[in-house]
Amino acid sequence: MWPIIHKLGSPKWFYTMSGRWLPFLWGSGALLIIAGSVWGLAFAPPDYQQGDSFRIIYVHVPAAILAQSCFAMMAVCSVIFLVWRIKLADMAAGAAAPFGAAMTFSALFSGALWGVPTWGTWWVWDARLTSMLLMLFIYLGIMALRGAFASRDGGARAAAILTLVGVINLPIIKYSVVWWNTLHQGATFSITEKPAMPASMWLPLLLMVLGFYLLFAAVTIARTRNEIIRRQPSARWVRALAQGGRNGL
Amino acid sequence: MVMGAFTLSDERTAAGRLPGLWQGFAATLARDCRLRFRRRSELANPLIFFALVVTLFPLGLAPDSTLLASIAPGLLWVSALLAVLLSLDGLFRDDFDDGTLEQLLLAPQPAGVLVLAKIVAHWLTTGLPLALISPLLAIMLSLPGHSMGVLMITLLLGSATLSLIGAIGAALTVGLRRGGVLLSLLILPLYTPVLIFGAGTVRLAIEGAVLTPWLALMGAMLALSLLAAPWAAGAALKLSLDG
Amino acid sequence: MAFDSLADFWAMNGYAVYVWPAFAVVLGSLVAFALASVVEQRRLLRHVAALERREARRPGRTAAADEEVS
Repeated sequence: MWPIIHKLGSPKWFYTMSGRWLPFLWGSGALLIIAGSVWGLAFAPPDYQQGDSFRIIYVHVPAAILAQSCFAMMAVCSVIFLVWRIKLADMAAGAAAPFGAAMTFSALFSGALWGVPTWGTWWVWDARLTSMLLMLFIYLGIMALRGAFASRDGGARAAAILTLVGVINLPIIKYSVVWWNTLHQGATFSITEKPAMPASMWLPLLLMVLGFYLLFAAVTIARTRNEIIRRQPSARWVRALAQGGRNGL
Repeated sequence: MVMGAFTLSDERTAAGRLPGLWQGFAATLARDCRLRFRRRSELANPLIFFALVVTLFPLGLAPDSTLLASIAPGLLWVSALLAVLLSLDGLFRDDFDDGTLEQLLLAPQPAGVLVLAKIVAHWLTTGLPLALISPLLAIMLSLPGHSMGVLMITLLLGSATLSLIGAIGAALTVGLRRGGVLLSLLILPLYTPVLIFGAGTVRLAIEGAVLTPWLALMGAMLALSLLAAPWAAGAALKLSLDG
Repeated sequence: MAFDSLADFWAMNGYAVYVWPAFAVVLGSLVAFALASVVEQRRLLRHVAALERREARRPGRTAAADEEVS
């Protein structure tokens, strides 16, 4: 058990192993997203109620799913970092945070654009939207806290603690916002309650979600690799890598 | 730091045993309360802030009593929340600056228990007075009389939760030179459930609805934060002292 | 194909203003992250190589051992 964990936690081992996987992740992720986009934009039939505006679903839903998955992944990394002190876990959590924030923002932005033709307004204080907005603020808080510390270890531990507090709070926020929302206007707006979609509609969505996951993995790994170099530029193997030109890619 | 450790071990030899969990808690609580009561003007600051913010809203909106009554629950709750937020920076700051915090974390009692004592002292001098004066301000906003009691209860329960969650943020930012703004950025999103349930319960009280489930939910949030927050804050204090 | 012509496709039956910006922002941020991470890696490796050369020129110095790339 322990030798495996230490091997997994070794930056050098991670760098070499992930280098082999990375091209595959980039390639398959891009391929799936391109295929899903073309299929979703051009070939999927228009929705009988929303017409062609429903095609926003093909970016909105994957972004929203990734925003939440990214937070979950950061929480797992934070536990690993706080309990076993594996620095690689912290590097991965730090690498994922900006991506998660970007996905949260993307989901909110595409949701607002979808809201105009569907609901007639850019923004409603809907439970989903509001809890996504709060999640964006938590992401920004985690990133700001990490940056505010002079010592890297301090920032890393602080960000990990805040991530865990956030992950406990997110379901509570979600639940409270649902309650608050039903108190006000009744659950009128529900994006997800659709009549069962035909396969020609949900298959491209599935491709997009898978593609987003693959790209998330690729981006996080690539950013973690950069962080490894940034943290130990004097390690012998990093020097050898830099001498060897592009071999490490 | 070293001296503190020696003092403690001396105490142990003199008394024959370690000071217990409860003793540590009570001593920290008494010390913090005494310190806070010595600075009376600082004690009043959150209350004055609360009253001032509440005064601002009618000025910014309109002196219309039906309008004010309809928004009074949210308005009072937001103001109280901001008043608590304002007081959070001082929760650990002085003890951090003069080294008391380091002593506290070296004590044989678990850090969570001692941090909880500090949080209780903070609530006794911030949340409790806020809840007690809230009916006064509620009258000025023409909140219906029968909901005053509910307002006080929600503020009592809610402000304790606010102190507990806020302690995590205060502990994370106490070592930073300009932690104040960052503290609000970290803590405000986490405060939203308390605000929603607190203000919502008061609104339901105005309508005359059954309140027990919502008060129970507020109690559940308090219980959850009581379990988790002191330990998280203790861990955060340790890293703030390391950094 | 759900559209009759390419012009139809671009117009999205009047929903172009909503559909295209949404795709542009979401897919654009993905592309931006991908490009940024690759560019960053090149820059970091160049920087490390420069460090190595600088130290090779002054063999007595190993002070850069703790140096970090910003």
